[in-house]
Amino acid sequence: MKMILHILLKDLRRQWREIALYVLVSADWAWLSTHPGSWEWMRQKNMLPAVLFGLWVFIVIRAVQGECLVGDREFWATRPYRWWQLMSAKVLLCVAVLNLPLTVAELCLLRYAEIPLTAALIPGFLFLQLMFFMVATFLTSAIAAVTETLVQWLLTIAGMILFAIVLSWFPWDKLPPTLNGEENSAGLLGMAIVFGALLFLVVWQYARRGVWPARAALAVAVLTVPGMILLAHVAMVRAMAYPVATSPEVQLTVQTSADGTRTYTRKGPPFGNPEISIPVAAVHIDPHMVMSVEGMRLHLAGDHGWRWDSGWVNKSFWLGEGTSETDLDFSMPAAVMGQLPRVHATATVDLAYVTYRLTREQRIDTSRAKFEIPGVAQCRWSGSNRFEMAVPGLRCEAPLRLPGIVKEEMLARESTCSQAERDNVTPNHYAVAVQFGTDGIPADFDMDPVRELQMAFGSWLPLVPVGKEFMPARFCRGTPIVVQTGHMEERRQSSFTLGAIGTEWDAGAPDEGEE
Amino acid sequence: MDAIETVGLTKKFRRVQAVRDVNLKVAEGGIYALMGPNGAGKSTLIKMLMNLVRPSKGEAWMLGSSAEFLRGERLERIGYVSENQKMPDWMTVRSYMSYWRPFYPTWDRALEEKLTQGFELPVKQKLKSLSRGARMKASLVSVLAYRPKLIVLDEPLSGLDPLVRDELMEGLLEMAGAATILFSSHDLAEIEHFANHVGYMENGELLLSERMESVRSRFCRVTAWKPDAMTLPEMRPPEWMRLRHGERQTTWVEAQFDSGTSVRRAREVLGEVEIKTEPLTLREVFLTLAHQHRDGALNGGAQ
Repeated sequence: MKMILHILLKDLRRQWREIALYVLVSADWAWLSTHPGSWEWMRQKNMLPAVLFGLWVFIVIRAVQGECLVGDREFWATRPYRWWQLMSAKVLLCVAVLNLPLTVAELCLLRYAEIPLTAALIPGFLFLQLMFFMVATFLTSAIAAVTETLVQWLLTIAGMILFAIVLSWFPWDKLPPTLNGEENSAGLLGMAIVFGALLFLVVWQYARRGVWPARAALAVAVLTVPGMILLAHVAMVRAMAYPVATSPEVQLTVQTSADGTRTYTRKGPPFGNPEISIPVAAVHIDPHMVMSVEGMRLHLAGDHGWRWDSGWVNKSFWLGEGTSETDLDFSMPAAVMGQLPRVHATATVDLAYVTYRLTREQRIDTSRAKFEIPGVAQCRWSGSNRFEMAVPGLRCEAPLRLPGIVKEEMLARESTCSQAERDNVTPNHYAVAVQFGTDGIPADFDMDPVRELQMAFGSWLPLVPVGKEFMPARFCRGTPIVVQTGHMEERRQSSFTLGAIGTEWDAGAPDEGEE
Repeated sequence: MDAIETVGLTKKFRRVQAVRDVNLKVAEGGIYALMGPNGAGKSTLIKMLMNLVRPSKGEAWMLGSSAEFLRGERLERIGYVSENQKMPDWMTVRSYMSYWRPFYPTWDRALEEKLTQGFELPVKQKLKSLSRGARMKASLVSVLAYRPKLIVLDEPLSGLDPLVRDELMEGLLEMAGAATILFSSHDLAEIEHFANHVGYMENGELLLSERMESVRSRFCRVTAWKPDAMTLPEMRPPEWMRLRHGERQTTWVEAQFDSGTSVRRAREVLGEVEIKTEPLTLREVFLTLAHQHRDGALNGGAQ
């Protein structure tokens, strides 16, 4: 430990200027973040994270290249350094002069948001700093470990950007779209390979100083990125990301009008393929479950073996108690659209989704100037509208992360807004807001540790038409809300048979727009 | 035990063979001068010994340990100074010394002070503002102060003025004690008075490696003189190097001169001649070897 501190002190003496600048900029960022002001303030505040990142990278490069791991002329290479002591000294330097000031600045931000600083936040802060270390320090130092100078480091980065530009010329758009789950699975595997290769690189360079194995590891890490993109398209990855549900969480049916007829909408955009919009409703939905759909696919099968498949398309909507209706829009060639009535097509929809389990329900009194949603956020009513807020005058803030899911519900009959703001809204109307947070990790990866709970209620339900729009659900001080929180359970895919589609359409669907 | 030993040490940089099959032994306590022109492969050989460059083939041992594993605590007993070594220029001489102190259990503070004063090093000045000679002195002090058993110096005197050069070498010899010293140089005048062993490299090959006295005694310039015109036969002994033939006089260098055998062979070849011999300076020895090597290479190339 003594030698680690000895090397650390040497680096502190060498780099004190840039470290002092970094600490000053961190303090400035914290001060600006807690003292809102003019547009100039906003411009500076937005610029500072980039400046901090630049300084961070610069300090890491200088620290690593202070005892350069490349070349045969280095002053230290023939001295009795223990590689692990040297590496530990560099890690300690980065943590002490980069992570620590940032943590202090982040604590100031939490304090300003009047979020109590409790021991429960420690794992989150440690995780957040670990993420900064891995992403900013580790990646920077991996490249610094195979380069001799800052210029070489920048050239290596320029080479990587060039590689990315060349990659972008590939016809990636010819590949089918990928869903979140597939990207997550491929991304996790890719990240494991990238970090494994870079960890080998760094340790190898410190322990053995052999540039070619290290550069080979860097090449593996760089080539893994396009590999990850391709991997996300592998069918096996989709099957792993979205296993087929043995018993689907909901039943999906096509909505029917009052007289029992199904109504499809056909949209003919001015350019591109026409779209079919299928209004569906989820029934038998578990009141403690929310289903967040990430992708969908439409199969059509008709007479004489006629088939058509939309392929997987990205789609983001959620279904839960109280919000169980939505439209499924699929684009299809005009020729297929035209054939639909003749071939007596039946439709099946596949949904790839994430299920969330709501585990806690609490009724919150919002009449006080400051109120708490226990375990979720601290809220304040204020006249200030400086920050962009979903609910004017209300700011709800949480430390480090929001729960996997936060669902808020308010009832029209309990609304404290003026009657003018809920014209045509009956006491039975209600409004729901859902915000998805982060699951599985104790903090979001963001410099600002204050997370905002949006409470975007949208429209009153059932929908109240007002011209071409629907009556928005205003949330006013004093209106009680029921807040449910929960966590992500699993990713799944299910098939739902919707029945005959073309015939029904012929029977009664009006066309909208032109094909 | 030999302080340094190499077996078949070879280094190839793509198509360039920088060091070829070098077998070197430096006895403990010896002062070994590794000579050769610029680009002969001396620095590459030394870098392989210090584990700064990995050999393409062969092995090396430093103080009994494989050079491949020369790192960490094994370097506590070995000192390395090189003319083109990068230094932490932002440090002052004093901070440079105090930085290295904890790395070496055998660091002798008094010796450090003595050497610093002896070399008249400006302790408060930053390394970047020092002259080349002063930087080399600082580097040498930081090595001598822990009394290493083996000191390796790569062209330590190159480009220094004679006064600094002598100061440095004297300081080194005075303070090195029983340490083994290996140093490389391309300037023969630098080493003649210091080394007791010498090696000569050319084109990556170690052409000679032996005690200084032995080199001085066995290399000899032989002059054969005759009052009449002297004819040189087609068949000449292969031992005769750098042969120069005049009307009445023939001169050559013998690498294994023996007063009895060499004179008898000369008379067998040239007839009744008067023989004069004189020892070669080290410079002449290396020039002979260099010429011999180049001629050999040319002939080999022609074949």
